[in-house]
Amino acid sequence: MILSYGKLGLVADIGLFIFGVITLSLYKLIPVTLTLPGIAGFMLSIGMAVDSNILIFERFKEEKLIRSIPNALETSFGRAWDSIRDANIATLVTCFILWNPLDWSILPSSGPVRGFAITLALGIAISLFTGIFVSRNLLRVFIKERRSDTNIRIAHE
Amino acid sequence: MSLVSINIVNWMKYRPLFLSISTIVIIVGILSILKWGLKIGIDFKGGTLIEYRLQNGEKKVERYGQLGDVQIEKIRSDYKAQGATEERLETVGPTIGPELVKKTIYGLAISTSLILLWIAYQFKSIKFGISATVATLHDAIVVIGMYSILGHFFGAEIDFHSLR
Repeated sequence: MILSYGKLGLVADIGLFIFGVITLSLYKLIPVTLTLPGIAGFMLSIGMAVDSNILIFERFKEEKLIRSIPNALETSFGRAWDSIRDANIATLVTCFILWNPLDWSILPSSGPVRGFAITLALGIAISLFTGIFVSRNLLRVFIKERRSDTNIRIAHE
Repeated sequence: MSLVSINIVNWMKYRPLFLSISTIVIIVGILSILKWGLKIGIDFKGGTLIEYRLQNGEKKVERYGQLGDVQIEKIRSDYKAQGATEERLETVGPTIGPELVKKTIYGLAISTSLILLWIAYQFKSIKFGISATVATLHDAIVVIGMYSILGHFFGAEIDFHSLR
């Protein structure tokens, strides 16, 4: 992420780190038994988290050509949210089928598959939070700081 | 609004190439499924699988049909007497196999149709839903076909160890 997006990628990586911490602590709290399929679900949700960041940053690249940077940031988060939501809901539907919480007899309900579905669903929920809320506010803070820096510099000159 | 300054690769230019790649992969995969079938592992077939590591580091996998606990214990003690260490031991009942396949197919059908409905609703057009679903099924067919080929040539098995 840092290689292809620079500072933006760094913010995304901080968001990802927070994602990992929250997810692992939830596994500890709920408690989810970490089987190998569960770890696979965790890995896949990391992928989904990166994916939402990429959608936002690609949008940002396009938006900053015609807007100021803070404005482009808000717009790109707003517009990417629609596609992120659709993609994640489609995955959550599959998670629901694999999880099979109502124990429908026509659907598989074996333990490892369930573990995969639960870790994936948790990961998606948390990645929505970190991808949209955490990295957005981090970027807001950084952009504001940079702007106040330049203001100060101008004042000194 | 033009986005000329962004370097956009015209992927559609390569449409014939991509179409032919996926057609070839799908056709080879389906032929392979028809000819050699899928090499299914113990989770679907039922039975007992014991994997041992011999003293000289060699790995050995033994497969049995349905065994009683006593028979399994006997095999285990036989191996232990030779100084081998057990790597894994799995026993799966015979009923889970066909039922699991049936349930998986139901799950696939339900999830793809729900995704189809969701996308068709979101994009206000059934065309989008169908294309997304067909793309998903295409991926699934490619994976299953490749598994059949890999299973024939390299011994890849479909069980929880490969699903992991």
